[in-house]
Amino acid sequence: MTDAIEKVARALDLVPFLVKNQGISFKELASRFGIAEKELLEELNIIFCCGLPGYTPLELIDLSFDDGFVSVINPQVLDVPRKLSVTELLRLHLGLEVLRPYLSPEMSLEAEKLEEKIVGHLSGIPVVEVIPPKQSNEIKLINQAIREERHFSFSYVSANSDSKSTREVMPVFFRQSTNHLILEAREIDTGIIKSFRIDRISDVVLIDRMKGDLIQVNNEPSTSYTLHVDTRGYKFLSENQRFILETSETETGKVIILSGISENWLVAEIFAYRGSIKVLAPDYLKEAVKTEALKRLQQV
Amino acid sequence: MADKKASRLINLTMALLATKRYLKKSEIFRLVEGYEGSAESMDRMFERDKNELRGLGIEISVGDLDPLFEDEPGYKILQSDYAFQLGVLNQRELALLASAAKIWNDAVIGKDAQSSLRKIEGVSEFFDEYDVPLNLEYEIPGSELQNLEMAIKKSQKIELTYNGKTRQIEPHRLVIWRGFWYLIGREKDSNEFKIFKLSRISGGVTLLEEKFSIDPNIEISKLLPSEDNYEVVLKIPIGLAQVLRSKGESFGSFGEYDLYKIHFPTKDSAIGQILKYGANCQVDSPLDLRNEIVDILKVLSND
Repeated sequence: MTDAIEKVARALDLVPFLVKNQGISFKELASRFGIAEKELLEELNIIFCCGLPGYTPLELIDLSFDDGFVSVINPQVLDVPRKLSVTELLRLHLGLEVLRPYLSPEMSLEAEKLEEKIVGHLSGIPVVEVIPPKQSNEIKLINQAIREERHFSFSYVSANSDSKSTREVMPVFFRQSTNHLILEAREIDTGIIKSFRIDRISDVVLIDRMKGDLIQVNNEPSTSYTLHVDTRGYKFLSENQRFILETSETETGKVIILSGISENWLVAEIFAYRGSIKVLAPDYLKEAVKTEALKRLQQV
Repeated sequence: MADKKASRLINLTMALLATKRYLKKSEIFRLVEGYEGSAESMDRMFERDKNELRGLGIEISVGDLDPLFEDEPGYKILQSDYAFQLGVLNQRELALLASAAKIWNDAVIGKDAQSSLRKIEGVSEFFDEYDVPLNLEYEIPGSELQNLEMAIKKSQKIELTYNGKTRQIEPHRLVIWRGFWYLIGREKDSNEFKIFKLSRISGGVTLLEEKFSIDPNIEISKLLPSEDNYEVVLKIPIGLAQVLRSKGESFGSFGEYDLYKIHFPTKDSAIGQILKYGANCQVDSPLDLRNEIVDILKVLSND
């Protein structure tokens, strides 16, 4: 799309947007349309000079944007938003498909009706399909707890402690990582926000305790670990980006420093990546991996 | 220059939207600001402008052929062709659409989602967003996505390099599954439906001239990898390895061990998960899996 065409598309969307959002600040408007304030000013000046044949002041689009806030006084015929393109309809349809499993039954039904409406404007079969996550019952219950800001309890199989236990949490949000659907929730016993894999959650029960009945937060600084990850283990990097503090390149891979993780979990990951991750520091962890491997060899 | 052209296109859109009857080209040149030069250059300018507006999805109706005007067609934009087509939406529907558009914020497809969001926001005053507590970290597809979508829409065969091999494929559907994007298509060499992970496509996607028929009844679920193809028998010490226990079924005990049958998607994932969660476990079968795990443990114990 050329510069001029992009400006036209934006102008045709800007005017009806302003009709419904009168007095929006200059800054917010630029941010909503994803352009710099200088660019917005240039475009408003273009729109200001456009209008219907005759082009007298009465026929021009009338805008006000001198005082840091933007309003449209007379949009002429551009008061309605443009039709959604086929690609835009497809994106919305896809977005609704992704959202649906996380919605309350009532909203889920509403989303389904909207999808039907959208499909009615599309010809042919959908190009993209979304395979919904399993455990939709657990997801819906947790979602209800998030909305109502309620605690809930559940059974959880923990890989770190190798145990199945009952937890009580205040849920925060779902996170779809590249491999798993994760719930971020504050554990009531410890006051710490933890990540729980949804596929290890069962027996969800909503509790009549609300957000705010909390909580002692653990502020102890966490240990950092230096690892060498070779190219076979790059998936580990992408999956744990948020824990990585520093990265540097080597001839055979990357050296990373990460923090904020459980040591048991890290050892388990090192085994799972079967030799592509090596501990450089601390020494005790390096030894722990060796000892554990030797121990397992004796058992096998 | 760009501003001049933008102004002319906006003026043309407005004139064609406002008119009740079809406007002849000569009328457009006379009435709409921005058309200047010789008749030929204005003509060329108008043809380009029409194409540009159509490229933006604005339908320009052609009609009102009048023999007295030497068959000169007239042009207008019908309000019904121009305006937001999803009709009247309640606040909750608007909020849902806004949330659906926002899901694609950072993805390649985000541009179209964002433009749709701006149109949605033009339908109503500020509305409460339906705050979906969902933070997606989906794999972000590359530019090949647009080519694949186009190939499916036009039922055109494609050529791509996947896992180092160049393949010709009839693309039938794109699928988002467990945070990853996949292409479902029939591969020419094997004449079988296969699933291709988009992130493993290298060097882009080439659309071929050849057409094919999309299979509307394709059963996606049958093509996705099954989760229970690779059976492993594990001896799990009593009370340990809860994650592995939760994945399988106990079928007896052997001394201090429980015997478990667990199904993994592949041998590779079995190795990864047993190494990760199976401290103190013993692989009873298959034997080659046990041997591979021993080799990896030797590497780890020598580091």
